[in-house]
Amino acid sequence: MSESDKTYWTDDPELVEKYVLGKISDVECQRLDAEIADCEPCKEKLRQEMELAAGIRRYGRDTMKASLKIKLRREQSTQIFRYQWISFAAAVVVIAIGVGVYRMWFGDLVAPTKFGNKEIVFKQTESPNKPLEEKDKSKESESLKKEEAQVKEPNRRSARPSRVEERASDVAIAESAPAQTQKPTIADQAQSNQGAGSTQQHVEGKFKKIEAEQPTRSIWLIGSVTMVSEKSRQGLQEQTSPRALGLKEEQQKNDNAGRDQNKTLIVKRGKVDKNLVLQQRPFKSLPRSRQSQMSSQRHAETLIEESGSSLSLTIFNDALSPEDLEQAVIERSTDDSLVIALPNQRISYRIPSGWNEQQRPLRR
Amino acid sequence: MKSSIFFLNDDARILDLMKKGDEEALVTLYQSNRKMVTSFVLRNSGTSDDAEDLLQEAVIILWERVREDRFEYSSKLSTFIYATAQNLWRRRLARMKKEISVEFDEKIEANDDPSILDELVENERSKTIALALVKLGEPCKTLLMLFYWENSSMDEIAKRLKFANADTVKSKKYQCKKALEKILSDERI
Repeated sequence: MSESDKTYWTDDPELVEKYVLGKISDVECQRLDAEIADCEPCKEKLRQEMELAAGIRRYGRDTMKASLKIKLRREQSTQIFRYQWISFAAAVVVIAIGVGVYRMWFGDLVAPTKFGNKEIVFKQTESPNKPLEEKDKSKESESLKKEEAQVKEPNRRSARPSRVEERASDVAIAESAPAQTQKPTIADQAQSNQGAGSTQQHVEGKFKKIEAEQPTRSIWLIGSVTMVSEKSRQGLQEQTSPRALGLKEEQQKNDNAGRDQNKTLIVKRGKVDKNLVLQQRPFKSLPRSRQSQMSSQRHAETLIEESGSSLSLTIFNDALSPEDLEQAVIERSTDDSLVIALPNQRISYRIPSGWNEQQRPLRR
Repeated sequence: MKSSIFFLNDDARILDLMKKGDEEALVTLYQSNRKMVTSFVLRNSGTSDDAEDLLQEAVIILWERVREDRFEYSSKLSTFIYATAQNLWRRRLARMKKEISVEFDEKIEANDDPSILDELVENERSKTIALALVKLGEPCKTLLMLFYWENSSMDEIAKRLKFANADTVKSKKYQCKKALEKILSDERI
C-alpha cells in the first residue's frame, strides 16, 4: 500500500468540521493531531477548513457588531429623549415655582406699566406733624361731610346703574359717568355690603354737592405694603393669628363707624391744585370680586377715584389705625409710582399707563 | 470570591440571556464596561472609536464562547471583557507595529486565551471569505452561518430552513461549501 492510498481521518469531512469547531475532546484532539503529524495534505485540508470557518465567523461577528451598534445608538437616543423630557419637566417645575414666588412676594402678575406723557404730580403741601391750616381744615371737614353723605344715601345708590369695570384683571379702570347719570362709587358699593348701622336718611343739600363731585373715573390698584418697624410686623402677626382675628373682628364691629377715617392733602396736578382725600375702610367692606384678588397681608387693595376738583384714595386695610392715617405723608411720587408713608408701614403703588391721559375717556 | 452577591446575580442574568440568544445582554455588557475599556484604550495610544470597536468585539467573543459552551465562569464577566480587550488591543498594536505602552496591566486571571480559530478570524484571509459569503447568496449563506456561527445541529437547520431532513441539509451544505470555494478560487485568479 502506497503513501497516497493511505487514508486519514481528514478524509471524513464531518470529523474535520468537528475538529475545527472544537466539538471533540482534548484527548481525541491530541490523538488526531499525532495521526496527521507527517501528512502535509491532511494539514492543508485542515487549514482550509479552519480558514473557511474563521471567515464565516468573521462575517457572523461583523453582522452582530453592526446589529449591536444599531441597538446602542437606539439606546442612546432613547436616553437623550428621556433626559430631554426630564429637563423639560424640571424647567416647567422651576418656572411654576418662580411664578409662585413672584406672586407671593410681588403680588399679582402685572407687567410694568408705562406712565403717559402727561404728568400727575402729587405734591405734599403740608407737614404730617404740622397742624392743618384753617382753610385746609374746612376743606377736610367738607370732604368728610361729602363722604358721609355718600355713605348715608341708599336711594341714590339703587337708582344708579352699576359701574362697568374696564378690565377684570388686577388693575381695573372704570369709565367715567355721563354728567346727568348718578353712579355709585365702588367704595359706596362696598359700604352697602355692610349696610347695618348706616343711617337711612336722604340729605338733599349734601346730595346736590356730591352730584357735582361725582368721580369722573376710578381705578383699583394693589399697593405693596412694606413694614418698617418690628412693632408693626408683630402687630400684623397678631392680626393674622386665629385668636387675634376673633378679637379684631369684635373690635372692628365696635369701631366700624370710627374706622372710616380720612385725611385731606393738597396735590398738584399739572398746574392745578387738587384735594387728595386719603380714606381707610375695613377690609370686610371690600367688594367680593376684589376680595379674591387679595393674596396676602402684604397687599393693600386701594380704589382711586378722580372727580373734577379732588382725588380720593380709599385703602381697604384693617392694619391701618386712625392715628396712622393722620400721620400719612406722600413719600414719593413719580410718573408711574406713588409711595405713601405711614408711621409703621409704607404703601407703594404702580400707576398704570392710560390713567394719566385723563382728558380722554377710556371707553365709549 | 470577593465580588458581591449583586455582581454574581448580574453576571448570572447576563449569561442566562446569552444562552437564550437574547442580544440585549450584549448592550448591557457594553454599557457596564464602556468606561473601563475606553480609559484603557485612551491610555494606550488609542481613540474612543478604537475603544468602541474593541469593546464590541470583546463582548461578541464572550457571546461566542457562551453559545459554544466554551466559557468557564472563573472570574467576573467584566474581568473577562477587560482581559479580552487588552489582548485584542495588544495584537492590533503589534499588527500596526506600534510601541506597546508600559501601562498594560499585569496578565489578568481570566480564561480568555484565544483559540487558533479566534486568531484566524482576525486575519485578512477571513475578511476575503466573509466577502465571498455575501456573494454566495441565500440559502447557502444562512445555512453556513447557522452551522459555523450559531453551532446549530443538522436537524435544527433543517427545521429552520424548511429542508426535508438532516441528510438534505448535509448534502446542501456540501454544495454550498464547494460554491464558496469556487468564488474564492475565482477571486484569486
